[in-house]
Formats: sequence, C-alpha cells, structure tokens
Amino acid sequence: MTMADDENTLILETSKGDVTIAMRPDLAPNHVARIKELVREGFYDGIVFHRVIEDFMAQTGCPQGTGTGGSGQKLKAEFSKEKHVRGTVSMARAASPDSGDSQFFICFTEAPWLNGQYTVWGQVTEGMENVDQIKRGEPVQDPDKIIKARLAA
Amino acid sequence: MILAAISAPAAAGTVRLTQADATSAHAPRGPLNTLDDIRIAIAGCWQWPPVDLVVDGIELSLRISFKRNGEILSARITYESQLISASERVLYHRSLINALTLCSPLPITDALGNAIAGRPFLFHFQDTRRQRKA
Repeated sequence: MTMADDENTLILETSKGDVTIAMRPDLAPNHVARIKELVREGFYDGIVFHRVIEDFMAQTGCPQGTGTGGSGQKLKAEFSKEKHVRGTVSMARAASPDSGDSQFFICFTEAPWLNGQYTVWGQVTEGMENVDQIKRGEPVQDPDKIIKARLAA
Repeated sequence: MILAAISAPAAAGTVRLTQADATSAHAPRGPLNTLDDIRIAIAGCWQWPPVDLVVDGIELSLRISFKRNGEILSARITYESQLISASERVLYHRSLINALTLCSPLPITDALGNAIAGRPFLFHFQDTRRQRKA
C-alpha cells in the first residue's frame, strides 16, 4: 500500500472484525475531510450499528444510537455518478440533501435507487465478510459497534 | 419522514397511517364508515411542529375513545419520549390539541358510531423527520 493510499484508508475495528475502507476524496472531498476529522477526534469509537437491514445496508455513526444524532456539523451534498454496490460507503441523511453529518452506511449489495441521491465517499476493500456478520435489526438489539476507527496514515 | 400508527385493539386490529396521510391539517370530511376512514381522518387533522423547531423527534401514544356521534369521549397520553426539551414538548402538545380540536366530532355514520362508541383506540405517533437514513 502506498503512502498516498494510506492517507485515504480508514480502518474500522468492529466487534465483528476489521473493515478497511478506501476513502474517495475524488468523489466527495469535503465528506472525506470531515470523516478524517471525526476519526482523529475519536468520534466513532464505541458507536453502534443501529440500523442494519438484510440485503440492504448497515448504518452507523450516530452518537445516540437512534439515527437522530450527529456531530453537529452538516455537510453539503457531494452527489456523484458513483453507483451504490456491495461495499459502497455512503452518507446517511435526512430529507434535505445537505443534512449529512456523521452517520454513514455500508451496502451489503447493490442499491441502485440510492444512486445520485446519497454522497458516496468510500469503498470497503477488506473485511466485507465482517460487515456481513453485523447483527441485523431496526433498531438492533444488543448491536455490534465500532470499537475504534483509525486512519492508516 | 413521518411515521404514525393507529391501532384499535378492541375494535379491529391495527391499521397504519402513511406519511402521505399526515402532511397537512384539515377537518375530516364525512361520512366516515370504516376504521380506515377514521385513520385517514385522524391523519388529516395532524400537523407536526415545524421541523426547524424540534431537535429530537417525539414518540407519543394516545389512548382515545369516541361517543356514538363522533365526539371525543376521552383522550389520554399513555406514553411520550422523555428525551426532548420542555419547549419541544409544548410544541407537540399544541399539535395534539389542535388535531383533537379539528377532529371532533368525527363525521361518522350511525353504524360506525355504534361500533366504536366507548372503545379505546391507541394512536402511536413517531416523528422521524430528523432521522438520517440510507
């Protein structure tokens, strides 16, 4: 792995194992920059996967574990033509396109109805088998969590 | 996003309100002759507080019963979220009072009035407009 790759590599140490995400500043530079800030602050450490739907996605990043929380800094949408496929990491949002904050989701499978509607900012490159093991539910009872999020560089 | 449900355990199981049902407040138009008509009528009376004024959405359950003529016989909040501010609670309660005022009396048929009179309905409202989702 090169130094340049390491700068945009996010590792989630989850209760089901490590998940490596290649972040895509080429698609969503502001989202990637903000995610890095939050990771360095330790914001994601201990946060649960609160909404996990079979054959769809696993959502996390809410400090309250309810889906209503965030860091308090909304992000302007950075929609692209990048498709939502298995392993895509994209930003959750409310009705407003510019309401992304800290919550994101990882797709279990392709989800074409999300294309162009949600900001894609990464792709799982390793550990997708661990994502598959994340406990399902909406809300999830006794959910899995991010033990620690860290940047490779 | 808005999710609200209404159940009538003593009368006829559970029916659900859709988001589209609950987007604007208006007095019900009769005659209402089915439980589904009531669902639509109640949904039509409800107007959520402006989303900009609430930080956390409320979850609220209301037990309500009607007289034969469609007037409200009794209404009582049986559950509401604790993790909202006092000012937000006031806003939701105001919405509730406005909805009940607008809905009473329900313009129901005599047959439906006889069927539901005195029976408890349980309404469950959950404001999820601020939830972020995929």
